[in-house]
Amino acid sequence: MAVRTLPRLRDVSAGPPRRQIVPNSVFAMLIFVGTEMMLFAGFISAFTIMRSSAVFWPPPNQPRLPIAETAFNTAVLLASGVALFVARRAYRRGPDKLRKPFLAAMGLGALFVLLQGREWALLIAQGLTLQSSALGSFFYLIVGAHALHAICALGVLVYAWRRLQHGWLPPSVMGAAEVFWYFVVGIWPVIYWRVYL
Amino acid sequence: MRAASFARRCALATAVPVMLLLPRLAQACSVCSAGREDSQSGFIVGSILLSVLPPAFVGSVALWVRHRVRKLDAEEAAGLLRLPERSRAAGLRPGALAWHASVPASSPPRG
Repeated sequence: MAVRTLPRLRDVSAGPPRRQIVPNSVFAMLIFVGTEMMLFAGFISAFTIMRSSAVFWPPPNQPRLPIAETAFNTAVLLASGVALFVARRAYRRGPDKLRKPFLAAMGLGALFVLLQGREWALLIAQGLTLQSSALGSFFYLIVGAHALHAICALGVLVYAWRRLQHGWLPPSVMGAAEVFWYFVVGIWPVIYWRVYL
Repeated sequence: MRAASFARRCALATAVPVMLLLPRLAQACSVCSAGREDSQSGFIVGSILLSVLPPAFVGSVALWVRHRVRKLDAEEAAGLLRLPERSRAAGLRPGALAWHASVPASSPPRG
């Protein structure tokens, strides 16, 4: 009588090293960015429906959004994304060549946040608040959510910078910081187009 | 039991054509201006955005991963990838071999 045996499990630890196509931190950041993208899509979709169904737009007796100043802010943020892209290319050549474009990306990102804060202060002084109108509610919700993401992404960039200052910036940290910052940079022109224009 | 199931199917079979034939009823909701002509463009833009974005994002990530796999295969075939021993000596996990192949050779080890 033949005895049937169970197939032996393959010992995966004994095999050749597994190829990692994408680091875990970068993949986790991509999943996070995907969920945040849907959050912003929901906000923008709701804003579009509300705007298209409004009788008067922008609402009367409400300040107009500063289109020209925000266009400059948009250019600053896009320049920050370009600087980070240059930093990525310099990363392969060595840490010393990375510092300047990386610092420029962080500086331009911080400038964007500061200019947005100044814009908010002016708009609040002119009477656009969360409760003043539907425009104010959606404006502070959407632009505020983006500002929060920009501040968090700046924090990740600062963390990566500190790792670089300590002598070693792992590619996984660099990649995760890039994904987050490119998301912040990439979604802003869409917000500008839908909310400001 | 069977009668209830039949009734549910009949209700569904009636509701779907009604929603298809009368889209304004389908657009109705309690919090927005239901079925108004001027709000239809907003509904259309929102529907397109929310429908297209998830597959576009997932598809983009899948294409990028495929691109990376092909690039790494090509580098491996050309002998450009680092040896596992070198990666281990640099304090990296063996599984990280492919990703760390693009690290500059002068990078100091971690830790």
